[in-house]
Amino acid sequence: MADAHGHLVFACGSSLYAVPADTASEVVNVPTLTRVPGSPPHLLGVFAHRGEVLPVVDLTRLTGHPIDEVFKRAVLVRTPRGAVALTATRVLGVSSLEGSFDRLGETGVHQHLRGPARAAVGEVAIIDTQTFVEFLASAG
Amino acid sequence: MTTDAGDVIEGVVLCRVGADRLAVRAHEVTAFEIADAAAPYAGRGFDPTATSPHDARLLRSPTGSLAVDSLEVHTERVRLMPVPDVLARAWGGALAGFVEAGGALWPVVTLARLANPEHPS
Repeated sequence: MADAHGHLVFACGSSLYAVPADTASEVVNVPTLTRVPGSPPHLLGVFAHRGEVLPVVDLTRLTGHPIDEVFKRAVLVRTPRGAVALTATRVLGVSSLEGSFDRLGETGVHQHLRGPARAAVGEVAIIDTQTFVEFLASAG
Repeated sequence: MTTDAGDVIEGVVLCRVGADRLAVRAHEVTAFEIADAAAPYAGRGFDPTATSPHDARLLRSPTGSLAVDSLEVHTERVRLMPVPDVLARAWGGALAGFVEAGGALWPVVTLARLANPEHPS
C-alpha cells in the first residue's frame, strides 16, 4: 500500500517517525525550556513561539526508549487539539511511504503509531497526529 | 475573581523553586510569610523528592498556600497565555496559563486549585 500524501520523516533516537506533511507546520530550534510542575516525564517543558505556548514531547521517553540527549530540534505538529513540538534528532524531509499502515500496538502510545511503513531512508512509524495528541491530553 | 486565558493580568508573584519557576496571580495572595517545614512545597511539583529550603517563603491565600524558595512581585500588566490541551491536567489541573516576564516564560498556578485538585496527578 502507498500513501497518496507526503509525510515528513524524522529520526528521534534510533527510530524513524513520520507525520502527515500537511500537519507538520515547521521544524523549530528548541530553546531553553520552561519546565511545568506536575507534568509527565515525556513532556520536557514548554517554550513561547510566536505568541503561543508549545509543549515539547520527548518521543524517546514516550515510547519507552529514552536517550540521554538535549534535543535541539523539534517538528511542530498542528491538530484540532492544539500544537505540539515532537523531539527530533534529524529531519530527513518529505517522502512517500509504502508498506503497512496498521496500528503498531493496542495499548498506550503504540495505538497511535502505524506501520511498519517504508521510506527511502528505512522503516518508519507513522504518527496518527490527531489521536496522538488526544492521547497525550488524556494521559497528561 | 477568576482570570481566563487571554486576559491581561495586573500583578503576578514570580517565584523561584530550585532551578525552576512559577507564578501566582497577586490578587490570590493574602500574605507572605516564612514557611515552616510542614508547608506544601512547590518544588515537589517538579521533583517529588524535593524538600523546601530552611528560608522558604510561604504564599498564603484563603483557600491554599504554597512554599517557594524566593519571590518577587511583578506589577506590570502581562497577558495570560492559554494552557495547551496536553497540559490541562498537569498538577491536578492547577495550571491557569503562562505569562512572559523578565524575558522568561512562567507557568501560572491557581492556589485554590492546588488545594482542591479536579484531576489529581
